[in-house]
Amino acid sequence: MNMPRSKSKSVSVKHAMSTPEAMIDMHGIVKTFKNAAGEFTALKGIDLTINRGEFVSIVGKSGSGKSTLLNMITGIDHPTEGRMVIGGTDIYTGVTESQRSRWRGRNLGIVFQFFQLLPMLTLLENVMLSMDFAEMYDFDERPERAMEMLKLVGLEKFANKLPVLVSTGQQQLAAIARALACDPPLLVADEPTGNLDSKSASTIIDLFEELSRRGKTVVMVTHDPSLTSRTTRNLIIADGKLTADSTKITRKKALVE
Amino acid sequence: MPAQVFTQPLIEMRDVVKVYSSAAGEFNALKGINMQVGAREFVGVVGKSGAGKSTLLNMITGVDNLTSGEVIIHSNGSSVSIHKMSEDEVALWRGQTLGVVFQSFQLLPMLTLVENITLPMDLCGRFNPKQSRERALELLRLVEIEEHADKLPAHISGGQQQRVAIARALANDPPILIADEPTGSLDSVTAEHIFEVFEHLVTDQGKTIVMVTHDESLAPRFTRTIGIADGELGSITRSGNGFWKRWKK
Repeated sequence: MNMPRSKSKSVSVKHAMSTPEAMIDMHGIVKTFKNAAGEFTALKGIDLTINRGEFVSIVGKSGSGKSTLLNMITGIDHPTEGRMVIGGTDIYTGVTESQRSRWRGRNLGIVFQFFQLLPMLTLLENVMLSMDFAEMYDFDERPERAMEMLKLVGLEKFANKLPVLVSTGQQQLAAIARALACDPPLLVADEPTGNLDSKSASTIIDLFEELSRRGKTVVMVTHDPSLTSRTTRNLIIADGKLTADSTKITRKKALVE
Repeated sequence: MPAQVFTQPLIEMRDVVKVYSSAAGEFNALKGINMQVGAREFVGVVGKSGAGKSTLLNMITGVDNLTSGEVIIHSNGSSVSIHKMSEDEVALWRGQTLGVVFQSFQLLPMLTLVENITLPMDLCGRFNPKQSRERALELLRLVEIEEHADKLPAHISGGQQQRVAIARALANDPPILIADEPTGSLDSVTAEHIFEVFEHLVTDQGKTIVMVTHDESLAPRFTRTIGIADGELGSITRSGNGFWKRWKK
């Protein structure tokens, strides 16, 4: 697998203290939602460090707080309290929304359950789009880079097809190619196999394993416990708290070897 | 809404056949569709799951190829047979002529609402960046959601997201809007509000709309309702002024 490096420019957000191995470092993350019915605390003080190259699953029932936790990592939503340092960058302290958006485009790849490909663009154009937004790579380089990403996920033959003309599994592979286009160190996936048959789901997990082996950090939220046997670390969240954290050392060693 | 009388069709489908081939054999999804839609019509295509409704829309948008027949769009003084164009030509034509609204909104989650709407304008190159932002805000105002312009889709409700998707479909000021079950994932009150937005686009903005739905109760609200079953058009109901005419194909 060929993973070309990006020509990243520096982004003006604060750098925070964190160990060099840490990809994600969160301290005391609390998230409270308020509405007319009162307050609801979805996350109750989460402390968690995820190191570079880990493939982590976050498992929990519906309403447990797993997607809220993911939204804190991606900056889609903001914590009520606490500190979130990703790749050495404190993403909530003194950072404007547009700075965070720019940082996100260059440092995070995000994969969604329903793919969120633009239906009127070909797969190749969908992948190129994220480079356009993040202003990564020269304009003329982008089609070639997008094609490399589609090759990486085995979709080069379908590059010029519209999403509706490929299977849902292939749409999700294209969404992963899009997430990888700007060569982010961190890939975040919210129920990426939730809308797929078991064979397609297995292909997606194979790809995440390979990316993790190549040094990407992959964090995946799922409600499917059967997928946790494939990750290097499994976190369980219940009622807004982390209740279990298992690192499969033997498997991690095998991956390194 | 009164029925419209049209002289020149805007959309014309001639003997459109779509056959899918797979290892299991062939499946005839559309069996020779002949249909015309006039300017400023609000046409509902009603049928059960698997009837061929979405395939029919895919033929009009040129998203999928037809097996035989022809789809012609008469717009801006020219007639275009969309399945005879190259992929690139059809993509450009589609961007300028059709706005498409889907059941699942398909907004890009990492872009703000206003950015989601400027995107098709940027892709089409019809407006410069300043114009496209101004136009995006104007469209958000049209669908009554301007105050949320700089929010991400995750921070607004499903009904609000569909309003944004409608605004995005209007970005390049297309004469035709195609909607595939646009209220299918909304509660009934929200669905009613979204349906009213479409009605206003026909009456106030002069748009032509073809909407696929499985909700037969909406039939009186369209200027014309076309039933589809097993890949064939069944009944056509023209509504308006308190009477319906019904005739079989």
